[in-house]
Amino acid sequence: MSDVDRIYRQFTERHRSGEGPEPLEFLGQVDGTDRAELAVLIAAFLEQAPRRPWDSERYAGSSAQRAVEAATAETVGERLRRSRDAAKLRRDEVVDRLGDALGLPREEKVRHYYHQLETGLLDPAAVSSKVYTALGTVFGTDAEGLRRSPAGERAPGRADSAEVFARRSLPDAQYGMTDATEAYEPPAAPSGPPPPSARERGEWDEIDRLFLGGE
Amino acid sequence: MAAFRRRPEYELDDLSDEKLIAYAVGAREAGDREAESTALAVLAWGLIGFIQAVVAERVPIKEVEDVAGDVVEGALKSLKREGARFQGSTQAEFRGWLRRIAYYKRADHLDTKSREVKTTILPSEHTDDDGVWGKEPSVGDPNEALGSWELFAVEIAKLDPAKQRVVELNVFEDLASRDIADRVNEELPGLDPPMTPANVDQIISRFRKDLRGKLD
Repeated sequence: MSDVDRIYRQFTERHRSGEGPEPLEFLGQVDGTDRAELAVLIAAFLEQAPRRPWDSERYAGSSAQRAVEAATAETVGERLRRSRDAAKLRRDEVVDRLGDALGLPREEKVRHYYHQLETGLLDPAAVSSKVYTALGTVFGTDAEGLRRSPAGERAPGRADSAEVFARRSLPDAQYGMTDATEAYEPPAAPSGPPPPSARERGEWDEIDRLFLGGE
Repeated sequence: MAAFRRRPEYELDDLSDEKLIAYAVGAREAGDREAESTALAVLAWGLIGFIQAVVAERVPIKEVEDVAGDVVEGALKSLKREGARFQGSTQAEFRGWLRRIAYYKRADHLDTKSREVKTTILPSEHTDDDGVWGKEPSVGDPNEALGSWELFAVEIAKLDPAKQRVVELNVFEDLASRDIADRVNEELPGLDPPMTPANVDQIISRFRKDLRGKLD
């Protein structure tokens, strides 16, 4: 029996016994093509085998935990939506009160930028603390709590490649699983003025600076 | 719609992938973030080993954990937004989706590394320069990163049904050659000549040799 066979059998036996073995411990026992072959076999086995049993002790501090925490941390946009729901305000009401608090009443650009901030299309780090302070007043919450981004929250357009690939490969509700090569259709952008380009930054107005210029 | 009911962890372990995702979606819609996180934790813990094995087919072992972690994070973020789309999907469909994400992330990781290699001075191109020496950096061809499962599936698909069944029983169910021969003869009663343990050994040996040939 080859080393690959022996190690593969050890792995599958331990998986079937419910031990939940770590593939990397087994893969680390061989090199080169042996490792590639063993990885193909273990991956094929695990793709159809029952999931590894839940183990809260082993999960603590694992890479799985780090991935879950990064994935489930509340983004700024989600926090704003939750705060709005808690305050029982419609988005238009928030925008009106935000505009008033900023001394910029009934400005369409404020509506546009707030929508982008709530839907994750605006970099939260680029938004001025004055805006967060004003939002804190609107929602009756702490401004710092609103603006705190989870570690790894990315500005729009810089999504992690795994996220992009995951979105592109989602199943279609009508037709079942899609082919991974199907294009991802982003949500339609709200109507309204687009943010200024770098070339136009010399013509930024006060609203642009508040939502794009950072502190 | 029935109200969401929080379940204990041991019950979540018994749910299929699709039902676990549906539970997480239900928790999210009910605003129970803790229940949602627990469900996603059970899912991630249960499947990260599979992702690590797919990544390890091509990525150096010391980098596998980080790359696999990124795959799981990306998949979970997608499920957070669009988990309802998996309603009714099978385990094979869901894990096939995970596998595809792992392929792309693996290829992206190797592509990024190869671009880093291009900015490194290569000793082989500076043989007269005593200041440039050491092991030549290299990475695998990122275009090959997409192929491992396909080549496994392609190699199996080349076999006739009896031989395919032999390989499946060997790889997925870890049966001894005699047991495999008995099962195949039961499932394919018209097989002539009947499968023997010696045939089984030959078929498996040949399959593994062909697979290794593609991996080399």
